[in-house]
Formats: sequence, structure tokens, C-alpha cells
Amino acid sequence: MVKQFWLVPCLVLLLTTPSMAEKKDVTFPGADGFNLKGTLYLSSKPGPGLLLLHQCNADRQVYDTLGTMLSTAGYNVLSFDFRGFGGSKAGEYTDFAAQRQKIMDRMPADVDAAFGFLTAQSLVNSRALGIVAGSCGVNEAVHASQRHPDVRTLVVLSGGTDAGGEAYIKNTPKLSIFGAASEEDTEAAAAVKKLVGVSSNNYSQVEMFKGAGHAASMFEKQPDLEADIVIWFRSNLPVGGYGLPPAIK
Amino acid sequence: MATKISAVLLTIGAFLAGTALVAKPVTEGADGSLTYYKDVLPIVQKNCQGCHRPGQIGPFSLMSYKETRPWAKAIKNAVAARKMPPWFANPQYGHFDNERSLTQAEIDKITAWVDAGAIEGDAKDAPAPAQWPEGGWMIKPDVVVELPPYQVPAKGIKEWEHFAVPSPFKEDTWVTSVEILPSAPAVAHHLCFDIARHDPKTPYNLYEWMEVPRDEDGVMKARDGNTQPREGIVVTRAVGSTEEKRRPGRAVIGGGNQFCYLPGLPFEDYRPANAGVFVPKGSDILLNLHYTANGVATTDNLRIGFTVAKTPPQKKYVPQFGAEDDAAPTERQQANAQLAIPPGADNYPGPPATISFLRDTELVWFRPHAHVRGKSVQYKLIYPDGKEQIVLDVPHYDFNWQLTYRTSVKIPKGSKMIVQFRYDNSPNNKYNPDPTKWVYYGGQSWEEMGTPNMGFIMDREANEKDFVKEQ
Repeated sequence: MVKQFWLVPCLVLLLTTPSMAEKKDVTFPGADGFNLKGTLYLSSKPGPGLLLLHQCNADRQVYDTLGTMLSTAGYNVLSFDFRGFGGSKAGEYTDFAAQRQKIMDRMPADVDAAFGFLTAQSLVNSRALGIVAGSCGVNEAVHASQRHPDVRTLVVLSGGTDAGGEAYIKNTPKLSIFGAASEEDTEAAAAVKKLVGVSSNNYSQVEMFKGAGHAASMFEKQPDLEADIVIWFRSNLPVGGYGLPPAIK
Repeated sequence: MATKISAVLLTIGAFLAGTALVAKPVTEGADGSLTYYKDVLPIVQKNCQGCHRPGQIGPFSLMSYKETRPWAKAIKNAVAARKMPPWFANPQYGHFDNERSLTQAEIDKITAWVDAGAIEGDAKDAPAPAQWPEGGWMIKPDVVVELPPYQVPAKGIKEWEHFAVPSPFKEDTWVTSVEILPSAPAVAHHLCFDIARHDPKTPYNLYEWMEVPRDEDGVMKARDGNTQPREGIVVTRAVGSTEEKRRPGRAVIGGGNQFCYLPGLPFEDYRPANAGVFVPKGSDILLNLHYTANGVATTDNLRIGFTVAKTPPQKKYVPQFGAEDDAAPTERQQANAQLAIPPGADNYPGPPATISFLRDTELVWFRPHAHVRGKSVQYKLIYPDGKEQIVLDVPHYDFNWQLTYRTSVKIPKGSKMIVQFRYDNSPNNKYNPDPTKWVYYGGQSWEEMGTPNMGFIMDREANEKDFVKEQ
């Protein structure tokens, strides 16, 4: 039975409604059934989905602080270990150095599986997606955005992309890109500058540091970088979804 | 296993502990440098914590040094660029009581603090903690109305729906501020209401809206300058039900935009002007609800908070379109049907609004409203003697921050206000969903509007019916 009026006029005696974020370890299958380990950082409310791709000399733990900050800011975030890294070491994938090409070949499908898992979460707006990627993950991020047109912005740390990725970036003005690297990390810095340089999005930008290290390792020496990334997403992937094509169909 | 991390405060605090994010606290600016407690916290309390605290819209909390420090550089950049606090009025024109821009001295102080290493300083130098209302409120409401949970689907078009509930006031009451608080602001395009004496024909517990013929892109077919047909197919749905009933005719539930929640709009407050809104006992709250599906199914729990006056205020608020006992103080003409923004246009002028003042009045707020292609708006007042004055200029309109600009402009009868909105339908507008489309007048976010909302006050005892348009 419908409550009459649903109206509760009262003198104010209200409980606080703090913003709740949730962090939990998860396991999801790759396309071949291999179990990938990840961490979900869920905001308390529906919002865009972000995928965090780690560099090849680290694992998903490098994004623990960033994941928490992003979920607090309204994003639903998944970081995961590529096979052969962190918690995703099993079977024939236990040593990245020894199985580099084999693992790299599997990365696109693993990224797709991660997107599938992320967008299946009830709080994730699958029309509003973004990626943070470091070093070897950058090329994967660019090509993943090509396969998933609902990826609307990228954050790339100390890494570049191939000719196909550059062509996609050049021809996709809606894709905004924030790049960061450390100057003495010369190859990575040049790659980031080149990648952002070909972007046809007016808001794309690059930030260079000195003596900061490589990819997510920069967070330690540049404590403002994680905050900058959160601000980037708030400016380029609104939590409210305004600016997206209408969710009609 | 899921780990709940409670609140922004705990979240930020937790990850700061034991990380290298925070430099070892310096307890004092020994060289006389600025410190958080002495120099920065007073600015943050006054200008930032209203939104940057748990449960509010700010993406992070700034309630303590530990919470603030990671964002130091971002704060510096935002205030130096005057992106924060959000305020869009051109300082060359008008004076606004609620202006929340920082002074240059405050910006310089924050910049110097960050550049010197964002020193914490001595907690003994801190001002007393700011007191904030609980429950997510900005005001501290005396009375709260809770609406039934509203289910917003992941996809589809939600038309403007009207809904009536009895007001909570059993006696004649003067309301002095109003805050409309959705729990799911991401799907709230606007949530507005009027207060009106109860009409026996007005049903409670029923959502009612007009069916709007649209094309496959969701664009309204009728380009007559209205957001919905005045007559056509009326659709209703009872609270708690998903069944929709249709009948030909006109809608019976009213509901306008006297009080609104809009993205970025904090609350309506008449206290600074010693004014209030008179709510006769037995009135209804007539809501005009516009939710927008954004891709995720969501439930909104809407609350409305009121503060009430113990004694009648000196002045009363006058709705721009009048109310039951009050004639409208203004008359507006605007050829909305002519709004047609070409693809790619980056500074397209919409049809201007011409507002005629039918009586001497005091204008106390502006609340311009456009959608995601809105770029700028300017209000120009033309006095009866021909003198012109720009009273509000917003060079960078932002749909996400639809602010109220509170002012006091005495306007003599016979004056006119010309309001000009401009639109950016180019790819350079990051909020533009599709720069290849023509855009026409309509009520959905992907259509456009250019509504020059304004608010007025008058002496409490004055009878607006005495003021009629001269023939």
C-alpha cells in the first residue's frame, strides 16, 4: 500500500550522510579463463568507470592511493594485475621477464576482460569510461580506447603508443589526454610528448617533472600528481555525465 | 572481502598515514612563512568547506590539514586561475552579496603557502572549527519534507513531471530559506517547486506529465518555443507503481520554478534581505521534476528543507511570474521558437529576452539557465530615460554551476531588461554531446534553453494586485 503523501515534516534531527567508498579485492576471468586479480574501488554513487593499467616493472598496488582518491571523488575504479604480475601469477604466467611476448600478446584481451568486469558493476556508467596507464600499459590503453568508444579520456604516464595508436588519437578529437613523465626518463618523456602532441583535443595537456622517476613511481616524488589526475578526471569526465550523448536507446 | 572505508575524511586520512604523500609536518613557519593553521585554514573555512566536507558535492574533503595537504598544488592552481570557488560574474559589472571569489590577497596567501611547502604550523593558531549543518544540508532546516523515492532508469527520456504534496505548514508561515537536496544529483537536471493554495482537483501521490512527440534522437518535434504541449496526451503514474495511464487533455497538477535545485545551485536564502516567502496554511507543494537518464539506473531520495521566521520579515519575495495572490512584477517576451543553433557554431546568439517592468521593484537575484551548450549570458537594463546598464555579465556560463547571483537593483516601472544568451555548439565545448547536430529550444539537456530567471522583493504589506500593466 502506498503511504499517504510520503511526507515527513519534522523538526530537524538528522543523521549525517557521509560519502562511503568501498574497496575490495576481486578475481575475474580473462578471455581464456585465466584468473586475473584486481581491486575495485567503488564510489558510493553511480558514476563513470576508470581502469588503471600498471607498468611492467610493478603491479596494481602502485595505484592503491590513486584508486582510493578517485573513488572518493565519485569514480568507480578497477586496477588489476596483468597476467604474470602481482596476484595474477599462475600456471604458465609466472615470470614476465621470461615470458614477455607471450604476456604482452595477451594484454589486449585482458584489458577487454577488465572492462567487461568493470562495466558489469551496477554503479558503473558504461557510457563514461577512462583509463590511467603507465609505461607498457600506455599503448594498451590507447588501443583499448579505440576498441571501446565510450572511453572518453586517458591519463598516460611515461609511455607512448605505436603508429596505429597515434593515428587513432589524431583522428579522435573527443578523446582528451593528460600525459606526465620525468624529463630524465628521456625515452618515456619523448613518447608522452609525442602522444599528447598528436591529440586533436583542445584540452589535452602534458606535464613534465624532473627527477621524479618512471610512470606510477612518480607519485612518490611528485605527491601532487595523483591529485592532478583526480582533478583531470573531474574536469574531463564529469561525474554527472553531462556532455555525454543522450542515454535514449 | 569488502572493506568499508567510511567517509571522505577517513578515506583521505587513511591513505595519508604511512605514505610519502605528506612531507614531514613542519610545526611552525620559523622563517615567518605562512602556515596552514594561521593563514590558510581561515580562508578554507570561509570559502571551501561548505562544499569540501563529507556528504557534500566537493570531490574531496578539506576539513583538516591531512586532508588538505595532498591537494595543495591543485588548490593553488584552481584559485590562481579563479576556477575555485566557482563564480562566473564578470567583476566589471554589478555587485553581488554572495560573491564567493577570493580576494587577490587571499589568492596570494594560498599561493605563497603552497610555494613554501604547504607548512602545517601550530594547531594553536587555528580558528575555531566551522560549524556545519548535518545531513548534507547547507542551510540548517527547521522543517524537512521527504519525497517518495524516485526511480530513474538507465536509459530513455524523462519528461518534466509534476507532483503534488501538501505543505508541512499547518499555520500561516514565513519561509526564509529553501534547500532542495537530491540524493542522486547526477541525474537531476532540475528539481523545482511552487507553493500554491490547495486546489481540490489536484491529486496527491501521482506523477503527471505531458507526452512530448520526439524524433529518434530525442529532439522535440514541435518547435513552438514550449518545452511541452499545453494540450495532448496526459500521462500519469502513481507513487510506487510502474503502470502509466494515458488520457487526452491537459495536465491538472501545476508546478513551476519558484524554488529550484539546479546543478551547482546551493540554496535559496532570503534572510540577507530580511525577506521571506509567505506560505498560507493548507498550501500545496507543486513539484516540477526533471530527471535525466545517464546510463545507470538510479534512485533519488529528494528532500526539501525550510527555515522559517519566528516573526514576519520586513519584506516578501515575489515570484517573477506572480503567484496566486500576487500579480507578476514583470512581463517577458522571448522568441524561443526561433532558437536554432547551427552545427559547429561557437558563439551563437539566441533570441534575446525582453523583460518589461510593470512596477517599481527591487531585483534581488539572477539565476540564468541554459543547457550544456550555454556559453555566456548578459543582462542589460534600460531605464525609462534610455540609460543603459549591464547588471550581470557571465562570460563563461557553466551548466554544472548554475549559480544564483544575489544583488539589489532598484528598478523603476517602465524599465526594460534585455537578456542575451550565447551558445557554443562547436567541438571546443567539452560538454557538447554532438557538435554535428542542429540544436533547438527544448527541455532536455541535449536541447537548449535561455531562461533569464530573476527574483524580486517588496514590502511585506504591499499588495501586488495594485500593480497592473499600463494599457
